[in-house]
Amino acid sequence: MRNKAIVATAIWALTGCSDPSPAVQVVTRRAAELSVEGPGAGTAIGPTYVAAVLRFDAGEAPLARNERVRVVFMSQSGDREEVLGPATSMLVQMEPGHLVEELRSRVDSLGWLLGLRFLQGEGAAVLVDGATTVEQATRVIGLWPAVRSVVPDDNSTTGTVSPAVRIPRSVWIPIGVVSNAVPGDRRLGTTPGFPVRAEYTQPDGSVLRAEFLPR
Amino acid sequence: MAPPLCIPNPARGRNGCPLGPPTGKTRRTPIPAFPTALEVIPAAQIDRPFTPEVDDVVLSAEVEATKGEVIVSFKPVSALKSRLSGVVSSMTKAEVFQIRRQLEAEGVHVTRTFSSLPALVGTVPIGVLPRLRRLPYVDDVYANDASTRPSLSASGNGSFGMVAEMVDWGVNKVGAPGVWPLTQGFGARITIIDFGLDSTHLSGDGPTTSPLYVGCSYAAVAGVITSCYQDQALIHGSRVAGTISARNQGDGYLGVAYAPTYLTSIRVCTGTGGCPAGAVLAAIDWTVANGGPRQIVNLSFAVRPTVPWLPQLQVSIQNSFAAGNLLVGTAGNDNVCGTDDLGFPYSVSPGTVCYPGKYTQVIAVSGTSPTDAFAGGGTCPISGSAKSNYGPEVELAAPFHVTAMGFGGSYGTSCGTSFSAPHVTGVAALAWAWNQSFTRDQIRARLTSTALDLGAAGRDQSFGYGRIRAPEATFGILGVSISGPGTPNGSLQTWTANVTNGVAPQSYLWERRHPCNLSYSQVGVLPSYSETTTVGDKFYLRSTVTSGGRTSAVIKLVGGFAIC
Repeated sequence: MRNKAIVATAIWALTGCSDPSPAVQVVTRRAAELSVEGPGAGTAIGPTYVAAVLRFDAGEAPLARNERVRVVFMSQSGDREEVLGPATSMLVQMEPGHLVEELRSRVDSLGWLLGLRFLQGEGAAVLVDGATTVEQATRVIGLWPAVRSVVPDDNSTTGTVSPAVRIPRSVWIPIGVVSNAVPGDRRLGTTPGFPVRAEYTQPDGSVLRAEFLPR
Repeated sequence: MAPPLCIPNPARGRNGCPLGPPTGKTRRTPIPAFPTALEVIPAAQIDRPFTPEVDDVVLSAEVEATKGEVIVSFKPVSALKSRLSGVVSSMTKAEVFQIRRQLEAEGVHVTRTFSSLPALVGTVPIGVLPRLRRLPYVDDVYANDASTRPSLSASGNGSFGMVAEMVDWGVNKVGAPGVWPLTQGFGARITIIDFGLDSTHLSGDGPTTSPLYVGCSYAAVAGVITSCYQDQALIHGSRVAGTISARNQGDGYLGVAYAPTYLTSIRVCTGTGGCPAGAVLAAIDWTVANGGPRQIVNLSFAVRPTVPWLPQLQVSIQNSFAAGNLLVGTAGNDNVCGTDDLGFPYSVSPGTVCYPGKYTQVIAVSGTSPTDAFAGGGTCPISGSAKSNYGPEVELAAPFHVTAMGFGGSYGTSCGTSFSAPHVTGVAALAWAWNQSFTRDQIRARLTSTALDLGAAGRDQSFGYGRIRAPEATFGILGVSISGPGTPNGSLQTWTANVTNGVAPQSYLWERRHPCNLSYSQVGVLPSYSETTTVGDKFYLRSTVTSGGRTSAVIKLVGGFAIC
């Protein structure tokens, strides 16, 4: 996993940390469904990413904190990218007077994504690739200038409907979309109007496939 | 026996009741189970003799077969005019709502009303039928034979302009129908941060006037990265939106405030049921700079107390509050607040209110049953174990279960304080729309000061200040006093009912009884009552005023106490 090694090296170089948190562990689970989606319909931010969504069978154990699954993205350009997921979303708050756009070059250089931006411009969600743990991402982002706070996003908020039930967690695995294809750069080179394909290999070796047509 | 009830009838040019007993009671051949057109009754049938005893027996058997479901037709002046002229005229909403409330007081559980048809559908205990049929304003009662009833989606919108809307029990319970003749929320802005709204409702029963809603469109505004497709999770958001503001378009269920100026539904929760923190924060952030004056933000979700982003949530809530928004949240349910990292319900101690309802800036709403009991289990029709959380932060209480919009254009029932909060949001919209000069804090104070105090006196952990009441919150507590002489002097004397917080249309009922007589007699229906008195006479005067969905009465003793 050359990419993973690059990211890890970059992170340890940035943080100077020699005591890494528990590493991610790649696992396979029996998935019920694979789909690919893009940003919300009508979004103004364009097809900056596509995401594979894996839904697991009800009987499958949910992924533990550092467990990841692997999905392969392919495009008509011949680009092929292996991505671990789920991605980790980190909520970043900037110091007053600073905007999250200041982080863009740093985010891009690590192959991460600048996702949701608060309208005030002082906060954002940074989508960290699945090869990086929450602890690692917290240390890295926390060292960036003008960052006031960084905390992991989570999906634990629910509607207050009764009776309460366990909410099955689907795994959301985004990848940035660019126009030029460079295999292994953790960005998928594709062109709007051509389909993007994702594949997930089940524990028994069978493959789930899904497509998405970026507009 | 209670005195005849007063039906305000603007068509008569005054607010009053018909004087004297009802006449011309008829029993007709049963009409089709659910009318598809306004029936015009031939004059010969109107004049047909009334045979109460036989009809009571037959009707009871018929209604028993329909499990108590009946059609009640009534006869305000406008309805009678229809029959005589053959021209369908609309009843005023005021008439409909007045009659509806009075029928409910008689034991009818109303399930459907019509804006153009002088009738309603409901269920009723069999034993009440004979009395129900003889009420002065009731024309007749029919068993609603379900075998020929058209489906819900087929009702209303016929070529006769008939509008059929159902009103859920909770919307009735908070008294919203009493306010609708005067405001349906226009002037208030409602923002819902939830699961979005099923788009198949948008052309039908979906909330009205919503330039910024709905479903996934928020992604375009703030770049929220979240799933965006039709899924079952929309049920939650649709129920919430429908309870607040499902519009009056001829089908389905009416919302509490069914015509606000704006309604925005921001989808922050994914198809699997969880709501990413970033999306929640961004949506609250949106309410800081958007929405405008008199904005009410409904937050029917729960956050566990151990999430790492709680400080960010607190800041977002504080910012939205500082922007002047009225924030309505939930107490939570089942001693659970959100989930843990793996999606399992996160248990909290009894007496814990979930975030964001726990914040002082947010009105935390607990759940109540149809009998105004605390929804502590056993009140949810689809789950006996479902119960509301409680705690010191609970500020108001509202109905715990609803029947409202759902997925795929359907309707259904759900339980939870997720649906209690929308009742408060809707009532707040009505109150703020009516009192547009009020500040957010004034509206909040009005909601709490006019709530029906339940449980321990004053604020308590189960009900807060009490169950929300739309007419009182909108118009204020109705007050009545009687001014006039206290001693009969042998000449014509006049007493006047003084009303505070009254709104038109307003009806009056004057009753009089001798201290030694237990029953009152109706003596007047005008704002004032005059009588040529007898020196030494002693009597009680009772003035009952009905106004804007509220009724208040006061008694004055004239001439002093008597020894009986």
